[in-house]
Amino acid sequence: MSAVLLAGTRKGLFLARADASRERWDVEGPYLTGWEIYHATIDPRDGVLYAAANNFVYGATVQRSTDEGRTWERSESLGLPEESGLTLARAWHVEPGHESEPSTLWLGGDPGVLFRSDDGGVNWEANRGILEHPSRDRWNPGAGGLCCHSIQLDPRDASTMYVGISAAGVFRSEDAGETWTPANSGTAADFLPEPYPELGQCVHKLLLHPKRPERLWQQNHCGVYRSDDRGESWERLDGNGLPSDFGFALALDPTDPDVAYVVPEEGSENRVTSDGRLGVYRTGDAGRSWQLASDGLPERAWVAVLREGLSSDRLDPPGVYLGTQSGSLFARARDGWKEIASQLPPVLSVEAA
Amino acid sequence: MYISGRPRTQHRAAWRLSDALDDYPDGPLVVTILLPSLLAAQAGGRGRFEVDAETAADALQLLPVAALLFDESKALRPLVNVYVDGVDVRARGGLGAPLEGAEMIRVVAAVAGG
Repeated sequence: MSAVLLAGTRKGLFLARADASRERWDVEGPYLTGWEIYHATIDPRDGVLYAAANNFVYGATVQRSTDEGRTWERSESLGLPEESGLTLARAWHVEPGHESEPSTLWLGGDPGVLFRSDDGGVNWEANRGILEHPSRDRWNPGAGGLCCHSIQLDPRDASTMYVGISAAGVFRSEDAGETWTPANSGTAADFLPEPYPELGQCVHKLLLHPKRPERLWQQNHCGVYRSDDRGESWERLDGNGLPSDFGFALALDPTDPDVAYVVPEEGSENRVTSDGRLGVYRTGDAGRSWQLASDGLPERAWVAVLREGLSSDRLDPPGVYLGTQSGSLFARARDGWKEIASQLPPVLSVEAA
Repeated sequence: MYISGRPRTQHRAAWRLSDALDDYPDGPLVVTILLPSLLAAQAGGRGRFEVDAETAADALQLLPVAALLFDESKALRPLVNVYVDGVDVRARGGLGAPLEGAEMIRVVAAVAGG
C-alpha cells in the first residue's frame, strides 16, 4: 500500500508519493497552475481527484482528474441560484459522500454555502437548508470570508452530517441535509456581546472520528473542544498543556478516538505558531492533557499553518502531515517529523490518502 | 457538464459556433476572441475562437469558459477586462453594445494579484 499526499497551494496543486514506509517522498506538480487550491482530495471509492480551485479573477471552481492529476476537468454547473442574490466567492472543501452513495460528493464554499453532487461531481446543486437557513442574517464572515470549510459525514448513518462555517458555527443535519440545527452549546464567541450564543461561533476546523462518530473535535477561534454527543455539548480542552487556545489546524488518528493534533498560534492578533517554534501538540487522552510532538520540526520558527494544513492518513501506523504558509511540507510516520518538500508556494491544504 | 482542460495552451485552432446564427436576422457578425493562457487551458487548450454574435456579451457567453467570465447574475467579473478592437468595452457602450463590424475581442485579466 502506498501513500499519497495532496498539497494545495496558492499557486497550484502538488502531489507527493511514498511507499508504505513513508521514508522517501517524490513530489510532482504543480498541477492546475494559476489556481489557488484551497483543498484537494482523492475519493477513496474510485480514486478520482477533486480540487476546490479558485482564481482571484475568474472565481470559484471545482475540478476533477481521473488520471492521477495529469489532466483536469472543470465542472460547468457550479453556482448559486440567481434568485438567492448571492454569488459564489470561493470553493473551500470537497468531501466524498457516504459509502452507500458512491456518486455523491459535497462541496463547501463562501458565502457559507454547501453543494451536493449526485453524479460524481459533474453537476452541483446548492443545499437549500444551508442557503436558506433562518439564521443566515446572523452569520458574519471571518478573515477568510464566510466560508463553509468543514463537512463531516457519519460513516454509520448517511442521514447524519455536520458542517462548520466561519463565523456561523457548527450545524448538524439528521435528514441528509434537508434541515440543519446549530450545535454550538458550550463553545465560546468572545468577539460577540453574548459570549455563548446559539450560533455565530468562529469554528476554524471540525472533524468527526470515523470509529466513534458521536465524537467531534474542533479547533475554534476561542478554544479547542471535543463533543461526545454529536455536538449537543462541547468540552473545552485548551487549559491542559496547550500554549494557546487559538489556532486553525486539526487532525485525528483514525485508529484511536482519543488522539488529536493541533498547532496553536499566538492569538488572533498575532497569527504565528506559539513560542517561536513550529509546535504540534498531541493528546492521547481525549484532550485531558497535551504534549509537544514536534521532534524534527524547526525549533526557531514563526510560521502559520492554515485550517486545512494538517492531516493524517489511514496507514499503520497512521502518518501525520503538515504544510506551512512558508511552503514546507512535513511528514511524521514512524520516527519523528521529516521535511519532505520546501520552497513550495504557500500551502493552503494538506490531504493524505 | 465538465469542460476538459489541459495544463497549457496546446493549439490555436479556431472554433466556429455556427449554431448561434439563427438568432441574428441581419446575418452573422463573425468576431475573433482571444483568451489569456489560463482561460485557454480551461477551454480545452484553445486560446482563439471565432463566433457569430451581435454584442460582446453574446460572444463571450458562447465560450466554454463563460462561467469564469460571468458570475451567477450574468455580471462580468470585476477583474476581467474586455477590449474590442483595442478599445475597452466600457468606452464602447458596454458589453451589450452592438459590435458593428468589430473584428477582435480580447479578454485580459486586470493587472492585480500577487
